[in-house]
Order: sequence, then C-alpha cells, then structure tokens
Amino acid sequence: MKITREMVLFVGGALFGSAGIKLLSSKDAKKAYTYTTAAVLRMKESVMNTATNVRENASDILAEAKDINEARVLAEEVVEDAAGQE
Amino acid sequence: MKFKVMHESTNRIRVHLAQTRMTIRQADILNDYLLGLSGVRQVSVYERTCDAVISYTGERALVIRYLSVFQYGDQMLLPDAPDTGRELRREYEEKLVKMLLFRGIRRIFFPSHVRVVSTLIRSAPFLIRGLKSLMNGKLNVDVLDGLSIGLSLVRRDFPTAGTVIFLLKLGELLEEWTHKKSVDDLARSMSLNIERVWVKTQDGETLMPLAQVRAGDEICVRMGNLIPLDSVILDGEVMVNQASLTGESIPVAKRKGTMVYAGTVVTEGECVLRVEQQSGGSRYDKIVALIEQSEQLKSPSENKAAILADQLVPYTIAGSLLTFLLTRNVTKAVAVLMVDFSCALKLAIPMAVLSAMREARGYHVTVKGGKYLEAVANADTVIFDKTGTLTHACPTVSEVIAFDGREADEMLRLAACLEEHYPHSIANAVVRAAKERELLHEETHTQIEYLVAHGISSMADGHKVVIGSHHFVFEDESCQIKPDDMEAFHHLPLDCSHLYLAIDGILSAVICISDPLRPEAQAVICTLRKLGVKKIVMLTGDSERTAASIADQLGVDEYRSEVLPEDKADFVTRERAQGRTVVMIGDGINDSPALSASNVGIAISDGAAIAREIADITIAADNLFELVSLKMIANGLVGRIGFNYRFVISFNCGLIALGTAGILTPSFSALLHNISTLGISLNSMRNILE
Repeated sequence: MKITREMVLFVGGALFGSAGIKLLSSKDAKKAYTYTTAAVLRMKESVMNTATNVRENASDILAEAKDINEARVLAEEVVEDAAGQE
Repeated sequence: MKFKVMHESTNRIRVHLAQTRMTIRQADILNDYLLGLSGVRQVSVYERTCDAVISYTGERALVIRYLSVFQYGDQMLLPDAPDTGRELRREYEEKLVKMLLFRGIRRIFFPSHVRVVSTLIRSAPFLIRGLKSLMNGKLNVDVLDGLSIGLSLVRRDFPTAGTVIFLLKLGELLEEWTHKKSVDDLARSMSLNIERVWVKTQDGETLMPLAQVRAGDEICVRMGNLIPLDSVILDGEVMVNQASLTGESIPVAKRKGTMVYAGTVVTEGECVLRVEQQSGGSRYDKIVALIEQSEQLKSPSENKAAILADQLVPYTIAGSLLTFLLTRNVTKAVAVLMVDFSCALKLAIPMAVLSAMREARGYHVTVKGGKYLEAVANADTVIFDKTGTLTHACPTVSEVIAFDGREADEMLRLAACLEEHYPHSIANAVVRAAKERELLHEETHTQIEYLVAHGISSMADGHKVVIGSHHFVFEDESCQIKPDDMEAFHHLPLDCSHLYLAIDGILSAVICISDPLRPEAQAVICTLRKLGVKKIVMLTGDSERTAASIADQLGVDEYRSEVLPEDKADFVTRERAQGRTVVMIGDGINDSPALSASNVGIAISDGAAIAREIADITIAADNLFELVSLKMIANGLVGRIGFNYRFVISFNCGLIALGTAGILTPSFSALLHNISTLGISLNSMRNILE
C-alpha cells in the first residue's frame, strides 16, 4: 500500500518535472496568463469606475436632499408669515 | 457635443457626455471651458465615467447651450486649458483603492495560514527598519513600529499585526499623496505667469509662448520681469536678483557676455538675451526641486510633531516594561505598546497644514510654505505699502487748478502733450484725463528732456515749460508763484499728490493726482485688527500732509510718509528687532527688500514678478478681503493644531490607562488608537472656513 503511494508520487513528480514545467511555460499557457492579467486589469478598471459612479450618485443624493430641506424650510416660513398676518 | 442629462436639482446638473472614453487632457479642457462660462459656479469632471457635474447660478438653458456647442478640438481652447494635476490624483486614488481591495480580498478569501505567511512577508520591511534604527543607537518611531509588530507576531496575534501594518501603510500613502499634491500645486502656480516672452524677430518684438522659444533665439527682458531661460546677455546692463538660485537678495550686476539663469529676476535696466537652453520639463522640475529642497513645506509645528513623536518613544517603551514588571502580564504590556502617539501626531498635523494651504488657494492665495501660515497667525504688526495694496495703483487726475490767469483745459492739454512720451503711471493718468476731456493736441514742442524721478522740461511755442515735483519746479528750476496766486496755492486739496507746471518760470497750473483707496480697505483693516493684529502701519511715498489725511481715513495705527525703498526695509527690521512678528504687504519692485526682511512677505500677484518671486505668500488682488480670509485660515490652522495635540495626547493616555488596567486587549486598543488617528487626520482635512 505504502509503496504504491510512494511510487505514484514519484512517477507524478517525474512527469511534472519533465512535461509539467514545459506545459506551464508553453506558448498556450503564456496566452492564458496574458488573458488572466488582462481580466484582472479590467476588473480593477471596473472597480474604479464603480467607485466613481457611487461617488457621483452620492453627490446627487446629497444635492437633492439639500433641495428637500430647503423646500421644507420655505414651506414653514410661508406658514409663519400667514400666522404673523392674522 | 452630444450629452445626456443624468440628474438635476436646484442649480446643479449632472450630464454624461456621448463618448466611450475621456482622456485626462480632455477632462482638463472640458473643466476649463465650463469654469470659464459666466454663471457657472463649480465644475467637477469625472473622466472615468465621462460625466460632468455643473453647479450654476445663471440660467440653465445657457449652460445646456454652451455644452452642446462644445468641441474638444476647438483651437481656441487647446493652449489655454491648464494642467490640473488630475493625473496625480488618479494615480493615488488607484493606489488607495488597490490597498483597500487587497486587504478585503486577503481577509475574505485567504485561508488562515496563507494570511499568516502574507502578514509575515509584509511585516519584514518594518522589522528591518526598526532594527536598523536600533543598531544606529536611535530609539525612534521606527523602533516602536517594529517592536509593536514584532511582539504581535511573537504572541501569534497575526490579525493585530496585520491591522497595524495596514494602517501604517495607509498613513504613509496619504502623507506621500498630500505632499506630492501640494508641491505640484505650488510649482504649477509659480510657473504659470511666465508662459510668454518677448522674442526679437526681423520685424520688431513679438510675444511668443515660452514653449516655442528655441536655443539661439534673442529675447528681451525688462525691469521687474523674470528671466525665463538660461541665456547670455547680448546687449544691455542689468541688475539681477538671484534669490531663487542663491538665496542672496542683493541684486548682482550683469554685463554683456555674462550668463543669466532661468528663474532669476531683472530688478533694474533692460537687456537682450540669447537663449542657451530651450525650455523643456527642466524649468518646472527645477521649481519642484527648489520647493522640495527648501523644506519650506514644513511648518515649525510639523517639525515639533515629528520630534515630539520620536521623543515620546522611550517613555512608551519604558511604560510598557514597567507594566510588565508590575503586573507580569504580557497582554497588558503589549496594550501599552500598541498605543503610540507618533503616527497620530505625524499624520494629523501635516494634514492640517497642507489642507489649510489648499484651502487658501481656493481664495486665490498661494502660500509657499506651512511656516508662513503660522507666522501670519502670530502676526503682531501688519505693514501695508500704500500703492497697489490699499489702492489699485491706478492714479487719476482729480482736478486741474490753473494759476497766472491761465485756462485749466489748456494747461492739461499742454501737460498731456509732454507727458505722453513717458510711460509711467502718473503720465498715463494725465494723458488719459486729457483724452477723456477730448483735448486734442498737436506736437508743438521741441526735444524733451526727462530727468528721472523729477520731471520734464521742454520748449513749446517758444516758451520754456517744466513739469514735475515741487522740488524740481521750485528749487531746481527756481520757478516763482505770482503774489495774487499765493492764497489759492496754500489751499490746494490735501488728499492727493500734486504735479506742478510752470511756463517761463511762473507757476501756471497744479494738476492734482489721486490714487483712490480701494473701497474695502478700511473694512479690511478693521477686520484684521479684530482678528488679533495689534499694529497696522501704512508706508507711502506721498507727502506728509497727504499721508496724514489718508491714514486718518483708513484708521491705521501708524504711518510713514515720503519713504524710500530702503527705508521700508529698515522699518521692517526695526519692528522685528522689537520682537514683533511682521507681515509686509507690497506689490512693486521697490518693496522687494522689505518683503524679504519681514517674517512673511505678501505680494499682489499682478504686481512685479520680483515681488512675487521673493514673497512667501501671493494674493490675487481683486479684493483685499482675501487677506482677511488668509488670516482667518491661519488662525484656524493654529487652533486646529493645538486641538490635535491635546486630543492625541489625552485620548492615547486614556487608552494606555485602560490597557494597563486590563480593560482593553492589545488588539482592541490598537484598533481604537488607529481609528482615532484616522479620524483626527480626516478632521484635519476639513475646510477651516465655511
């Protein structure tokens, strides 16, 4: 049992040493790395864009919130004026 | 250009431009274009999303129309749009997001033993730095940082070590960013005003952008202007102030064939130069290097903070050891160590200074270093050079009083006829007044003789005419006043200066020239006094009577009349010798010695280049209230620095006490400490004025 396991590991190691390294440094593998890197960079861009977008929307909300409060204050002033006239 | 409205609220609109990507240059152009429109208050362009947020005060339809006619390729816009440092901001924003993102990824996706390895790797630089300081026999903040990280690792408390490393790195990044940004802003504002130079061509002189000047071209530089490029003098003799190169404020004489350097200033004379080295990045880089070397960015309290932080380290370590000896409890000892005052002080105080400098720029005030802001806050004496600061330096003729039975308009016509050949401000005033009254004249005079700072003499229609100062007309030319005119002569208006005109040795007219005070001058002086300035002084070249009348109007504490340039510097030196902090405000070439003699020299930015170069602070003089804003920002900054000190020390002492008592665990006290550090740094970046 033990011997078989060690044999498998040995053969696996030998295979990786000869063919595996070749596979990892092959042209196709390099292509895969390039695409992965591009994908990571795209992800970074999209994160930054999302961050900017969130910031813009937050400032929209802030501006609108200020409008609402302004309108409320104005409404209250009108009421007070009317009360003052009576 | 096509665009889509994304959001609207009162006086604010967000639009999305119909383009797939926007370059940094395009964003700058759009930003500059929108800001230049009347009725637009504030603009932010987001190049990543191709969006622009516009706050306006004018009409909405107008903004929309301007937006729809906008084109990037418009040649009118291209050369003018300034570089706004957008690239730098983008670079650091990316770094910041990357840092936060990686921390998130590590925490969520990495298995715990991988996290341990990554913490070990990231802690190595801090451990090495700490060891290095220790080997050099120094017990500074680096040692403390290394120790707190190292001890956490030894105690297998990897999350705490990770948090400390992350926050230290974050602090470093923010500090680097703010430092780079302020240097960049300063350099840009300093290199802005010399973009065009007079180049000699076959058909005279033409004004050309600096970038188009090549090595070998001949350029003309006159009094008060900056030498834009390294060059050799071909013609003329000049006095050059090389303070920006050598720090020496006394001008040096330069003759034909000698070399002059970019960034120095001609203080007297004019010259023709042959350019040796054309402009490239070099000029801008030089300014950046200059600012960085000069350490002007560091204010005294910033240095104090860094030194104090280092000084506190031995006590923190001793305290930690003592805790361990008394309680035999490692956790408590480490809790003390986790709280170091250093990063809070080191981060919050520079942040406060830099953000105050940034805020000042928003009020068109360029501050060349943090230490000047502190000096402004501590100012005891403020000295104004009257012309150009309290006034617009734009003299006008207020009255023409004729003597010897002559006609006032005739006299003005004659004066204008002679003065029009001399382009100085008083002559301009006379010529302008004649034009306004539609007094045309023919050239009736012969060769004109001009005596510097005294006056003009010439022959007109066979009569000898002299125009000039009291001294020139009555003493040098010994002109007389008719006895009948004596009464009127003694009642000349007081609050303006006088130009005397005599024909054939008899006084014929007095032209009253006044340089009106700025309407806000008095209010500004009053406000400055309320903000803590003890003594406000006015210096002027006017006669005693005129000066007294103006000083009374303004309400200054003291004035000096008939001062010469060197007297101004003497006055400043004497004030300083009495232990006062002196702020000097001036605009002209002759103010430069006084500006450099004072603690803080403030120059008006459309004044002479030399004054701008020497000054520590420049203000755009649209409105003197900028001075008030500056003073308020400076006062606010000093208050904020004091608050930061008190807060950092008391909060962290509290943490130490709780740590020793065993109420807080090391990781929790590290967390509280770091959150408070970030909090106070963010608080320091808020605007001081609202």
